[in-house]
Amino acid sequence: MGHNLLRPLAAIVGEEYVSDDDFVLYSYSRDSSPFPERVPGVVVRPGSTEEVSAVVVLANRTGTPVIPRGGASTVCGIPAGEPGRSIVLDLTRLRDILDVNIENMTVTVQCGAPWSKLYYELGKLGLYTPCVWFPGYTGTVGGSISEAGNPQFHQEYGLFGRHVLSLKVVLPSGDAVQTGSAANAHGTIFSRYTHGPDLTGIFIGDHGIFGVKTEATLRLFPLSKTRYGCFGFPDVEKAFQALHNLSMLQPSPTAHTVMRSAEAMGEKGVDVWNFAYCVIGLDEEELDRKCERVARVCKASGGGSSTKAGERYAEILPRPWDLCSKLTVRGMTCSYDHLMPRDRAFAYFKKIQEWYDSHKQDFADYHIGRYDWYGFVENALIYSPYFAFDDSDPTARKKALDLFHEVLRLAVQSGAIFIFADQDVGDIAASAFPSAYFSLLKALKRAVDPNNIMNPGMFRL
Amino acid sequence: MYKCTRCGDCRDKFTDLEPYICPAREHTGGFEPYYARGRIQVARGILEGRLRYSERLGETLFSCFCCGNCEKTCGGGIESVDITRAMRSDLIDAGVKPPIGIEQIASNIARTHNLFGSTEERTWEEIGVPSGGERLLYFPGCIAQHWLQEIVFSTTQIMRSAGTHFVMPGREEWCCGNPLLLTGHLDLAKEAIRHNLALIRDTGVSQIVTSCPGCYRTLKQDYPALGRMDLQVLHVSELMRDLVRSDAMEFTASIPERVTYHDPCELGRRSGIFEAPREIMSMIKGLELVEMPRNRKEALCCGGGGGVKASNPRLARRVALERLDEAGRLGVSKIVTCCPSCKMNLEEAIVDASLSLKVLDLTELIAQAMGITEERGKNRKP
Repeated sequence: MGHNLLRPLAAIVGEEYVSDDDFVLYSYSRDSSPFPERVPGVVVRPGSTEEVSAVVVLANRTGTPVIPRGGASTVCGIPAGEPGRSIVLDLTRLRDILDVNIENMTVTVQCGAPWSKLYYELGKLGLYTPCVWFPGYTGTVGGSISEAGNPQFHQEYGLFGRHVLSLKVVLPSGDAVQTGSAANAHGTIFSRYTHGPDLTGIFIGDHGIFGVKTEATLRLFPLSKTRYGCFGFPDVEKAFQALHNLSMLQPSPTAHTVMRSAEAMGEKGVDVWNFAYCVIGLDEEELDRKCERVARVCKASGGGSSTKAGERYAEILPRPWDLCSKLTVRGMTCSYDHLMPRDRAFAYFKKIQEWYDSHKQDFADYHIGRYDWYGFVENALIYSPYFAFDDSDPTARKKALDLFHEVLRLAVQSGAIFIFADQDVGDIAASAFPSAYFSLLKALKRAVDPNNIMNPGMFRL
Repeated sequence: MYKCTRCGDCRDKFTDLEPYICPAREHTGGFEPYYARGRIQVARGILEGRLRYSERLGETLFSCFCCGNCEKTCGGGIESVDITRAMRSDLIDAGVKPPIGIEQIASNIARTHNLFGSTEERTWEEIGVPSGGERLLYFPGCIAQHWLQEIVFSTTQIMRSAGTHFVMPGREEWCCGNPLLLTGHLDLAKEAIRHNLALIRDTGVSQIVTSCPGCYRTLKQDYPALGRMDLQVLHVSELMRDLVRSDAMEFTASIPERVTYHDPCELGRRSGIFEAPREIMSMIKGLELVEMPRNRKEALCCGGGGGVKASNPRLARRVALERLDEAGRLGVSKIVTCCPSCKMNLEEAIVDASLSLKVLDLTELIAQAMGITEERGKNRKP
């Protein structure tokens, strides 16, 4: 039995770009995580905002769930929708850079474009916009904005959302709305803020519950020079202290930092914590100055030579796209990034270490590797637990997921904010919504999407 | 397969050099199973009993060019071409019909031991009459042997001119098995490989040279798994480079032309031979070699790989036209390559699109530079 919307969808996007073949549907049933598969009913690859709009109108008329999809390299579980019936909108045909405005320092890009394309094309013009750093090749502009994640050079530029000026979003009604300064029908897109509320912000981190992003206008910066380095610390607390102290400096000399044990970087039995960093600047003098400040803080906290793996890691930091292919831990992983405010960071860090100590045997018994990393972004610790296991072993997979759920709940109960969530992590995040907050979210969702066709079930909506 | 983290590096690794990774995804509807990540997910679904092989899935599996570009980008070291090959084989074992062109390949080889089903009597003995004691066996491969015979003539003329003694198996040469391995016909492939192994042993040679990168990789990588191979396998570009280096060949004629070189996937990315052809071309007087933006490891497939020319000629044509466009933008008159399959696919696309480009095998260029201008063997089938 084929999907009942196959023909009308083919009439919108063309037969070549719609499929309900069982093997196609199955291949869209997972993201880059071990969370359970969820098989949709039909997959569509629209080639324009107009086609997206027509698909959404059709979905709304028939009450069919719509799951927008970018690079699908998320690690938090594929949206549930309605298995066997949902329409997956694979947006990766929308990948053009539409406008680079050097005077206003903005770039407008289709949301299915991979970040790596934007990065390289802007680089040719000596320009830059904070790009997703992991996995940069596959991650799409729209996907990252829907998740509000942390970009490359996050200590310099902060979280993604700060640089989104405007979005073109196809609402569940099928209407396409342009946010930001486009609120003035006579104006252009140059500012996030306008004479009214920040409607752009509603769609940042929304995980596609309010509409389908098809275009984004982002802030541009001059392309900086980069320099990297790495310090090694004899114990994790000293490394953490250095990381914390550096984040307190205003302005922060580091643009991107990653603290990870040498063991997690692949050096078995090496008891060193590496602190890899990257600084950016417009000239060599600025880089010199920043590197000196980093060295002073690290040495004061007991930092010395890093391990070879640490050096290799640091070398990749300015080239975020290579992180995935060159440094990723082999094997399936459970991971997610979350934020903890700086004033709670150390206590939380200790709590996490204690949790690990109490589960040491589980990790050993099921051969689950730990590859956590830490950094700071804005005023918070950014922490990513990272469990790797053999995905061909169902018992190891189950155990890893059980442990992962435990550490997620610990994070939520400790006050962490998930900067990306998706279905499975989002479900746990939603468990901590205060009732007034959840009511507002529900009211907004009902107002924008009365038939609840966009990513139904996400955040328990 | 279970090492795949579904990160998607095999899909979009946009760099200065490459706007995309997978030509099959780029030139089809682009759904996940058209490239490695999705295909591996499908393989897993089949292995775990959630999916079954079907003719529709077969069409998708046989649209993979097996060019290996996805393997190059994969940080997890996933051998996705092998996974695709295994899936094709499983599909056939499951009794599902592959695309018609794929069946034709298998039936041709089963019947005539060559890709084209040719039953013509070859007279290669006249070219390389063995005098006994030859150490080198020349194995042209099906396409050069039965279709692009100009490659065989230029190769043999160069070798004779350089004083290289060689022997050719003639009609005893069976398809090397590469197309059978690529299209999932393992039993037929094993039969062909065993026959050729016995043939090679009987000749007592210590070296084998082939014009075809597919034969080259199969002789080098697949044959040893099925039988003892105590001899050196060379691609013709390696042999010619050695002859140039040892001054056994002399380039007397100047070729004042601007050309580009197309790296065959099987020879370049999958076997690591990038520089031998370039080294030879750099020694030809007057010749200007300009590189396409995607060259060496980043080279785009010609569109003829992986059996796609047989299973989906339209897709093969689309990719060939993209490659030709890339070459055409350089303002070259000729594309040089080292692969009869690439030459065949590119030439056919040129004819179809009425382009003015010409494709030359490296040996044809060398023969021209050596002053061997005689054109023989143009004996193509309609």
